Amino acid sequence: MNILVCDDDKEIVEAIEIYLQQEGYEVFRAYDGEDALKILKEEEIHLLIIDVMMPKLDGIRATLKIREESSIPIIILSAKSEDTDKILGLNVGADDYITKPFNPLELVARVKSQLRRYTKLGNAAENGQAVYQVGGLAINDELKEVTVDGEVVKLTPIEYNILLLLVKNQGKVFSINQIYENIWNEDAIGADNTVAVHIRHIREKIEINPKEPRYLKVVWGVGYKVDKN
Amino acid sequence: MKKLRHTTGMKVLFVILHQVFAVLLVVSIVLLSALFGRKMFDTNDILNQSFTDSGYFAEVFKETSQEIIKYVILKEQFEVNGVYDEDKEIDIVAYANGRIVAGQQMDGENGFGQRIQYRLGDLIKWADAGYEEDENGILVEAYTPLSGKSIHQSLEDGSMDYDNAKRNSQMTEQVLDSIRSDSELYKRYLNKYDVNDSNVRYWISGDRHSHVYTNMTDQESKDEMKNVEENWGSYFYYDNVSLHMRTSVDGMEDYFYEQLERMTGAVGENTMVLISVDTDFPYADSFASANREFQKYHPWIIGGIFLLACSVISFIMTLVLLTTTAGRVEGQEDKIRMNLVDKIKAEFIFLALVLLLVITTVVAVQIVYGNWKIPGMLIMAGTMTYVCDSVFLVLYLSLVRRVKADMLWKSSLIYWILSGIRKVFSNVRITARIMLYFIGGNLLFLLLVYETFVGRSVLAALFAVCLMAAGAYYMLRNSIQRNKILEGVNKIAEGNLKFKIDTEGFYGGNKSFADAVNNIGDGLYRAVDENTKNERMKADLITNVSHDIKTPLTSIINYVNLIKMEHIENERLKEYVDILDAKAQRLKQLTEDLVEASKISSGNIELHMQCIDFVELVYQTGGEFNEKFEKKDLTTITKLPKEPVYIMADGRRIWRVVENLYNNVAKYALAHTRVYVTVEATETEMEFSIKNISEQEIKVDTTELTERFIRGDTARTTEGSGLGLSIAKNLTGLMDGRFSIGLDGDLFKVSVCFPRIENPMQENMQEK
Repeated sequence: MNILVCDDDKEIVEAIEIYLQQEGYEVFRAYDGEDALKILKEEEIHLLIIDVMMPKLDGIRATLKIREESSIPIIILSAKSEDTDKILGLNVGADDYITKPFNPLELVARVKSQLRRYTKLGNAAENGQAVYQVGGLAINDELKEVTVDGEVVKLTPIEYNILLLLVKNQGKVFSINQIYENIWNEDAIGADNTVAVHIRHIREKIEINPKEPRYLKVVWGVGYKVDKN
Repeated sequence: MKKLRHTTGMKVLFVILHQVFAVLLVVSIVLLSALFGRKMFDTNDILNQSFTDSGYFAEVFKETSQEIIKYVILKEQFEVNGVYDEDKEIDIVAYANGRIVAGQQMDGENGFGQRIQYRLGDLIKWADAGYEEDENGILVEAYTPLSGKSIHQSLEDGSMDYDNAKRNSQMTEQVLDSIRSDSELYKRYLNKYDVNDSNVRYWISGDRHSHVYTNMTDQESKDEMKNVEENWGSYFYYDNVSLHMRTSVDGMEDYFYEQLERMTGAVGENTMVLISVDTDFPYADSFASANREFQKYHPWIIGGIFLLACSVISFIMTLVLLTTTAGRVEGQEDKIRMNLVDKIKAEFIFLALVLLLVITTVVAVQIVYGNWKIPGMLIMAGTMTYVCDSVFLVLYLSLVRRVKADMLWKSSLIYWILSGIRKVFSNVRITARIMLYFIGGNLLFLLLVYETFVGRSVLAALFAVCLMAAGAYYMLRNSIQRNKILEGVNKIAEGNLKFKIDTEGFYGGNKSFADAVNNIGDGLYRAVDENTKNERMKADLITNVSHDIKTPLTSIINYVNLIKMEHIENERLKEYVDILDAKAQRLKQLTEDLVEASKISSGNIELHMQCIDFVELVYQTGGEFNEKFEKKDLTTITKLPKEPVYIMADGRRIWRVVENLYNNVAKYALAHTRVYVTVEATETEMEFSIKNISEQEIKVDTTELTERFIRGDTARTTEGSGLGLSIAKNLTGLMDGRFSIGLDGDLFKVSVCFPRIENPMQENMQEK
C-alpha cells in the first residue's frame, strides 16, 4: 500500500512515515500541494494525508483538484480545529479530518480504516443476508457479528442489542428510557447510568476515537442515535 | 460669495438715496396738500389747465360776488340816488338788522317804543370819537336823533320804558361798532368795482326803487343782459321774477342762494343780478393776481403727483434694501454685525420711535396749518423730513439688525431684568426654588381669588384661571418629560446604549437631567464597544497563537510516542519520557481550552438553542464518567426527578458545562468519597448541583475560581488547564443560565440554574 504524506513541517512528515512504515505501508513525502499533485500523477497512491496550511497550494485546493480525477481516501490533517474548518474540509471531498496535535496511534487506526473500506467494502454485499450496514459498520444479525471496516468487534449481548436497535432505526434518536424499555422489556422506573455506561462501552469498541464518534452519536440531553449513512 | 450690496459704499448710497426720496416724498405731499387747500388742486379735475374752469377761479368768483352783494347793501345804506350822502338818515334798528329802510316812510313805533334815526355823518363822527354808557347802562348820547328827542328824554317823559331804552341804546352801540369798518369797506369796494379798470362787471336791480346798482353804462348793460353768455367769459345771472338763473361758474348756484336773502332785504323783491368777469383779465385786480398764481403753481400739480408716486416707490424700495442689507458685512454673509446703537435696550429704541412719531406729527401740523407761503413751507418740511428720517433710520435699522441676529428679545430691558432674576434664582438651591415658586404662586392665586370674590373683578378671575392653567401645564409638561427620561434610562438599562432622549422642548433641570442621561448612554456605549472590540482582538490573537503552537506540539507528541515505542531498558529514562508525554498532553489540552475560553468569553460563538431534557443529560454524563469516577472510588449519589425537566440550551454546549463540572470532580475530589448530584425543579426553574469533597484545601476565594487560570491548588501540578470552571460559567451565562460556586470547608458545590420550559417542542418529542 502506498501512502502520500503532505505537510510543510518535515518533522511531522517523518514521524508519520515512521508510524506508517511500522504498519508496513510504503510512504511518499511531499512538502506542499503542488509536490503532492506531481507525486499523485507519477506514482500509484492508495491514500493521501494532507495538511491544510501549506505554501504554494493549500490542502483544501489540492483536495479539490485531486477529486476531479481520483477517488482515493484523503485524510486532512490540520491545526484548525473549528467546526467550520472541519465541515469545509469534508465538503470539498476529504474522507476524514484530524486535528493537530493528534494521537499518532489514532491516525494509524484511521488510515487503516479508510484503506479497508477503500479496498474491501466496495463489494461487501455479503450474501444478501440480514446485514445492517452504516458506513464501515456492519451488523450480521444471523451470525450476531459486528464488524467495523471489516474487523470483527466483540460486544456483550446487551451491547449488541442496543447497537442493533439503533442501527435498525437509523437516524432516529432514542432516549435512555426508550432504550431501556426496548432492551430489557421492562418499564423504566428509576433509570440510572446503566444504559449510558453500555453505550459508552459500545463506543469504545466500535469507534476509533470514542470522544468523536463516527457511528454511535450522543445527542446531549435527548438521547442516542446512529446517523443514516 | 461677495455681495456688492453689502459693501459700506453701497450702504451709504442707499442711505443717501433713502433720505433724498423721503424728503421728496414729504415735499410732494406738502405741496399737493397746500395746493389742495387753496382749491388749486381739484381732485375731480386734475388735468384741467384753464384758470377760469378751475375751482380756484370759482373760489375767487364767489368771494367777489359776496363782496359785490355786501357793496350793494352798503350802497343802499350810505347812498342817496347813487351818491354818498352824509346827511342820510340812518334808522338804528334797521341798520343793526341789516335791512334797508331809508327809502321807506316808517312811522311811529319800531317795536322798541320809538323809531330812532341819526344823521350818517353824525354817526361816523360819534364812532370816531367813541361812546360811553351812564350808570344805568344807557348810552350817553353825544348826538341827538333826527326826531330831536333823545332816549334819555323819552325815558324821563315816560314815552319809553327802561327796557326799550336799554334795547335802543344797545342797538345804537352796535351800529356805532360796525359803521366805521362798514364805511371803510364801502370806500374800498367803491374803488375796486366802481372804476373802469376792473375786470368785474355787475348789474343789480330791485323793486324798492328804480335805481340800478351797476358799474356798466346803460347801453352796455342792456346788451349784456341779452347775450350774457356770448359777451363775457364768466358770469352769473339771476332774475328773481322769472326765477331764471344762469352761470358759468361751478358751485356758484348753491353759494348764491345763501346770499339771496341779504340781497332782497337790501334791494327789495324782484331782484335781478348780473356779475361777470372779463376772462382776458386786462386789468390788475384780484382775478389777475389769482390767475398769475394759478399759472405759476398749476404745472406743479402733475409734477407733484408724479413725484409723489415715484418717491413713494423709491422710498419703500430703498427701505427694503436697507432692511435686507442691515447688519450684513461684505464677505461675512453669515454674520450680523452690531454697532453701538444696538447696545441700547430695545425698549428705549421703541420709546424713541414713538417720541419721534409724536414730534413729527406735531411739527407737521405746525407746518401745514401755519401761515406759510408755499416755498417756505416746502423748505421747512424738507428739512424736518431729513432730520426725522435720519433719526428713524438709525432706530429702525438697529431693530432690524436685532431681529436678524435673533437679539431683539435678548437686547430688551425685560430680558435683562429677567435674566438677572434667573441668575439669582439659579444660584438658589432647587428645593428653595420650588418653595419660592410654590409660595409665590399660591400668594398670587389667593390674591386673585380675593379680588375675584370680594373685589368682583372679572379680570382677576380670568388671571386666576390662567394661572391655574399655567401651573397645570407646567406640572404636566414636567411629568411628561420625567417619563421620557425614565423611559430613556430604562432603554439604556436594557442595553440599548445607542438610545437618545429627545430633549426638544426640555428646559432647565429636566434638560440637564436628560442630557446627563444621554451622556451616560454615550459613555457606556463607548466603553462596551471598546470592551467587545478588545475581547474579540484577544480571542483572535489567542486563536492564531494556538495554531502556531499546535504544529510544534504535534511533533513533540509524535516523537515522544516514538521514543516510548522503542524498548527502553533504563527505568529512569522511561519515567522521564512519561513525564514528557503527560506534559505534552497537558499542553495540548491547555491550548484547546484556551481557544475555547477566549471565544466564549468574547461571545464569539454560535448557539443552536433547542429543547433539552436535563435529567437525560445527567444520565448520559454519568455514563460517560462512570469509569473515571470508579477509578478514584468516587460514589455518585444521584437525586433526580422522575419526569423529564426541559430547558432551552445548545446541546453540545450544555454538555460541555456538565462535562467540565464532572471533570472537575474527577480531578479534584478526594478519593473514596461520595459525590452528590441533584436536579431540583420548580414550576419555572431548574437547578442542577454537584457537590464533592475537595482533595486539597482550597485557598482562593470562590469568586476567583471561575476566573481564567485559577485553580484550587496554587501549585498547579495536577492535570487540567484551570479553564474548566471559567468555560462552564461563561457558557451558562451565554445560554441565559445562572452559575454559582459554594465552598464550605472542603465541601465544594457548583450549581447551575436554568429557566424551565413547560412543553418540549414537537420535533424533540421521542415517540416510540
